[in-house]
Amino acid sequence: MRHIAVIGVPNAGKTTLYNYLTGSRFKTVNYPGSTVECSVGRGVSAEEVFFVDTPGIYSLIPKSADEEVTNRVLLEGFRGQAITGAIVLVDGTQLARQLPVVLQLQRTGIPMVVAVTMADLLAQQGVRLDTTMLSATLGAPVLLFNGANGDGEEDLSKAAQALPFKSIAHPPGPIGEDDIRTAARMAEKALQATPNPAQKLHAIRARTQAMDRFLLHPVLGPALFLGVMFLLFSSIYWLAAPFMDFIDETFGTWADAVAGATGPGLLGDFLSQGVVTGVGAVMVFVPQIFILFIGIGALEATGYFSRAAAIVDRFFTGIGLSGRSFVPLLSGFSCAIPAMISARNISSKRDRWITTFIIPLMTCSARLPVYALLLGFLFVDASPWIAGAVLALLYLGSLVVGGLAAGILNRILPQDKSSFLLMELPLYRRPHGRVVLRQALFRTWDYVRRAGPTIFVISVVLWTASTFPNYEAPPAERLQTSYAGQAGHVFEPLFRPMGADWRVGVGLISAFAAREVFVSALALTFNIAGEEADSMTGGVLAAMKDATFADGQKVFTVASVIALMVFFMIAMQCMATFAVARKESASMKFALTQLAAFNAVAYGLAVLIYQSLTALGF
Amino acid sequence: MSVDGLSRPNPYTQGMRLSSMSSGAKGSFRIQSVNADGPLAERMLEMGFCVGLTISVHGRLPFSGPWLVEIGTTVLALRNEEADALVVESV
Repeated sequence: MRHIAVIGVPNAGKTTLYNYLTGSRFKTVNYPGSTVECSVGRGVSAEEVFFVDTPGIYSLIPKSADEEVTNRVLLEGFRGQAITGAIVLVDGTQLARQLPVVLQLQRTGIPMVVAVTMADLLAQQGVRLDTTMLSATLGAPVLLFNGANGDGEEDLSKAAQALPFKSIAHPPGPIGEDDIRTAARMAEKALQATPNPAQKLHAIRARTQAMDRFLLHPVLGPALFLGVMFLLFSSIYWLAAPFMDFIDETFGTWADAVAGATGPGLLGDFLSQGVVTGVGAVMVFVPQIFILFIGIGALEATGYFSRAAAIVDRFFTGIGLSGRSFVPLLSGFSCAIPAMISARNISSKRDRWITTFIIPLMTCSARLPVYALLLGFLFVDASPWIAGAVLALLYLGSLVVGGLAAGILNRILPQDKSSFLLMELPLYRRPHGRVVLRQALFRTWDYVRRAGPTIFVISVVLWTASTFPNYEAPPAERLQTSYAGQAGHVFEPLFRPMGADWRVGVGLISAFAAREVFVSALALTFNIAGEEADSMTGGVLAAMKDATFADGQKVFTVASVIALMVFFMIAMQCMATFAVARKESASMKFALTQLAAFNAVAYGLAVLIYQSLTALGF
Repeated sequence: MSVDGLSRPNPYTQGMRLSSMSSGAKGSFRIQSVNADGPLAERMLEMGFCVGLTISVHGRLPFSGPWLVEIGTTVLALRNEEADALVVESV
């Protein structure tokens, strides 16, 4: 058994080739100590080979986290296994630009096979490459590969299997100007047999060029982009919602079943309310995360996102980021979890760090039920347009706060000399369904595996805090006298300045489990019974109107409700986000800093707003 | 002109920085020199920018956005600082 690395430049069709080489049967893991993804799978036509997929590189000398991993895999091996050969890819339509990496690899002494991809595009235009001449010059087999139907995979696998067993002899040196010139000469010679090669190669880009006239148009471009993203996010609702309801119900049923099986008592309640519900708290995110990964993955694969990143890059450099942060940040408006995971694609470590840090500030969709409740209280008789406008303001506000946070972080963190755009706008391509599906599945499973335990533990802790010590009492009383309720009472002086009483406090504490829990927690603390969401909301709204502090002052005034909305807009949201932030940054300190900083800022702003609005008479 | 666009720049032509061109600039240019150091210089070379290369400039994205530069069969988006490193002459 040998391990052969698959190496290539981004956008050259490496993922497609890799899927064909391994029959899409591979295991994706995160390279140790990072969240950069690496895959290993057995060759379907080369049973004695394990193909190791490496992140795309522009050079074997790393300038990004991705390139570092490829470099280390080559030099140190993968999971303790030395790399004894390589398949290096070049895009057949960009030979001159991509051959330098091949030359760089050749100098390391590792046995290699060169795969020339996009053979279908070349054939379409009648471009013929002299692979024999290339092979003779490079001293390695050079084989064509057709990504559309997989032609050439078998020959490539067999050639890889037949490579001499040797691992890397010399560490890679930088790509030099002579490499560029040598590559240019080689490409020219390889195309000699084709009449008018430049024109034909140019024709390959014709369709992409035509589409870019719209997609990079100053007005149409951003409009189309926002339209696409809006469609994607709203699909979360009508596609994911039924599944999420289904999961909710299923876990609810299981909880009842467990409770029934163990009979009344502490163990039963712990198992059904604590454990089963805790697992449900992890799984309920799965549909929306999975769908978002599919949508984002498919759009990514078409090459579309690089256009979006190019259009907005200008605005992001102002706060120290790049256009590549755009899609992850935008996704945060839907749910922070897949957003933080998709931030892995950002090549600059620093940019990625900042982006992951500010993603939770993008007010996510789980907060909508809370906004709905609070807006419903404020604008009970007003037209829905006003409520809509305020909602839009909240979203805008979170963008502003996010931008500020990024700006501040940008000043605090040391500069990154190797942050560039220099971004390729690749040919538009139809995504491969199977490839997109596999990646979405892997990333969803990754979330469950890595964040699951943390979410589960916090869920159980919260359940314990809101159930004990008055376990025997009826639900409302139990919550009110529980540890969480006591904490709410104890901290009321803290909540008072922002216009909240202990009941709201308990709601805020419980909302750490999931933002929507705020509404049901309020219902419990106000003794509102009823399972129906509508009747419950109505009941809560009525109770809110009459709720007073011990001294008779009304709790829910315009000032306090607005303060509460702002608090929700900014405060670090849910335990799931916390757990994923910790895993994506590989640092508890990161996640705790996020939690502390956002909640502190949210609190400060809420207090400020409440005090000033109250002073103004609201 | 060769298929990859590598040819010798004209030593008598005064080159200009790509970043100094007006936003609507379009057309073919030849790279006279790449003025950058450190990681940026390396990266520009790795992306294919080198002396003698012919590039096709497709103007700039709105709001002083990135420059769109075509090399061979691909288009790259370059920030102003990156475009600043390219000294070019018209062809």
